[in-house]
Amino acid sequence: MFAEIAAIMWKEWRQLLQRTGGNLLVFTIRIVLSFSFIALIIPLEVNNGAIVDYSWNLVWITMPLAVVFGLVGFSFAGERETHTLPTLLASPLSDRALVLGKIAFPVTYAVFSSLIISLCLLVKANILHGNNGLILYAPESFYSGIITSFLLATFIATLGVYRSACAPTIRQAQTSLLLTVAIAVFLPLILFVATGFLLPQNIKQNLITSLESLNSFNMTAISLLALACVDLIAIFLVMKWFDRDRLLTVN
Amino acid sequence: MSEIVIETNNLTRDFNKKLRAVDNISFQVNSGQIFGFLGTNGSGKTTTIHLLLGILKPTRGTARVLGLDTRSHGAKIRSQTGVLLEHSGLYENMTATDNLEFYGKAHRLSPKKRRDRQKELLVNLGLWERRHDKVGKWSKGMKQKLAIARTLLHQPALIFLDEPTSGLDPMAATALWETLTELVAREGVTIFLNTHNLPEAEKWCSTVAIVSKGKLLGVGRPEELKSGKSSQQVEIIGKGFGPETKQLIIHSLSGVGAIETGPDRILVELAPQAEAAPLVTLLVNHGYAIETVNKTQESLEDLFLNLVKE
Repeated sequence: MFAEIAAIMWKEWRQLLQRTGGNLLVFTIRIVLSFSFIALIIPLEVNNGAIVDYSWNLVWITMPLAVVFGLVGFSFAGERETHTLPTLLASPLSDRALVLGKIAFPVTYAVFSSLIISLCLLVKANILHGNNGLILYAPESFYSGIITSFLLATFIATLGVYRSACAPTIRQAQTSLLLTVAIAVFLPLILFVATGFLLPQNIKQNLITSLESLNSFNMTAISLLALACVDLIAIFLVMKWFDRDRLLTVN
Repeated sequence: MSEIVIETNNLTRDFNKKLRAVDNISFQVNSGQIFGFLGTNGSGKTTTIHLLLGILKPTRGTARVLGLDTRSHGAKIRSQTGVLLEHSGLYENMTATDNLEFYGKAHRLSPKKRRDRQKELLVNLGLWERRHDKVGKWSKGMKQKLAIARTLLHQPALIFLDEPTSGLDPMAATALWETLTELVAREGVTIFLNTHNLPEAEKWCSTVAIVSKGKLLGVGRPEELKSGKSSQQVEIIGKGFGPETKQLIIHSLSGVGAIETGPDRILVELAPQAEAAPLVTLLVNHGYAIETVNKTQESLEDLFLNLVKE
């Protein structure tokens, strides 16, 4: 199955490359220049030889959102618009490979984009503040950032592939993805706030006390674990839903 | 002895419980033949291909392709068959080799095999020099050739072609068929051809099935179908024909249909299997001077139109 997923990712990559001119060198230069510009405008604070300002952490959240939103609508709706979907479905690629390959490509691209921006930020930090030696990211912060980027991108990509498989056009896929993500993000937030109002005072106090007892590492680990579980459930549901017959009869 | 590569039994497919696209179809396709599946637009031809590939599930009935049940072995069927659907399915913003490379990977061909097959097919189809072009810049005929190369890439035992010459000019269509039959002879595959181009089907298909509104109206070799179903016309050129000739034929012979008479020409419609000799003998015995006798049979197109009208 990995070979099949790799085949789909390769095809998606070739299409992306061709959409942006087809020249790998030009593509790389454009990516590096645009990411360098983003890195320039992100504020930095350096302390004891490490980047400590947390504004750069936003990169790990915004990049997956931006990149995956831009790409994932194309996955099945793009194939449908260009009339390549029936032929793709008539290939021996398994359902799992089709779903996972379509999810894996924007996720990989999003994580790489986050990494490149982080690298650009590191270069900027060393140019501006690197008089006393090499400046690096604090390891725990860096690793949690990569994992956040990966998990968040996976979540959006999974929803995106599902929406794209249901939508007749790319535009409709992107619009419905936006709505789905808004619901997926804001509904738990609203529920969280509502729970705060509705819970009895003693339970609320116990909850706050136990949350306060957690250090930032534990908090991050629990959040990422929760996100990973949500990702796995989402992927499982999309794979269960995926059916060639259903894809072919969308109109 | 040829084996059965496709077998359907009461194959039926409904869409949204409102539209029956394929209605109780049963037929067989033997290996090594070009099987024409003929029908007008919307007659269920493409749906049948989707059902045979296991992409769509039948509402009722069964289908076996290469001995495999389409419900449970769709992936295996798709790995052993090649498909050129209504749209070529090519990625137009990718190059010819990228298109073939992707489907080569999808069929799990080794890198060497992919390279070798790409070169072999592109050279044979006259596309090798243009292999690094984006397919979107190509003519429709070139795209169809590339789609055929993609279809044959993994050396399938059976290929499905859905209107392969649709949108091509007659020259390009003929060239494509010549290429196709040459490739098929070399690669030894069976072709399941969906078409509404009846002269093309008559020319290239060894067996045809005629469908209309999802129903199978007839299946067999074109000449069999024509001799079994279609009437034939006998044109007799001579002298002295008139209304009394018409009456003579009607009263003396059975199996005679419409008759048109003129002073020096008579046109008689005969039943499918009827001989023209008794008619000629009758006229000669009654003193008519006959110069020429022409017997014509309806074309597949006439037969198709008659069946669909019925």
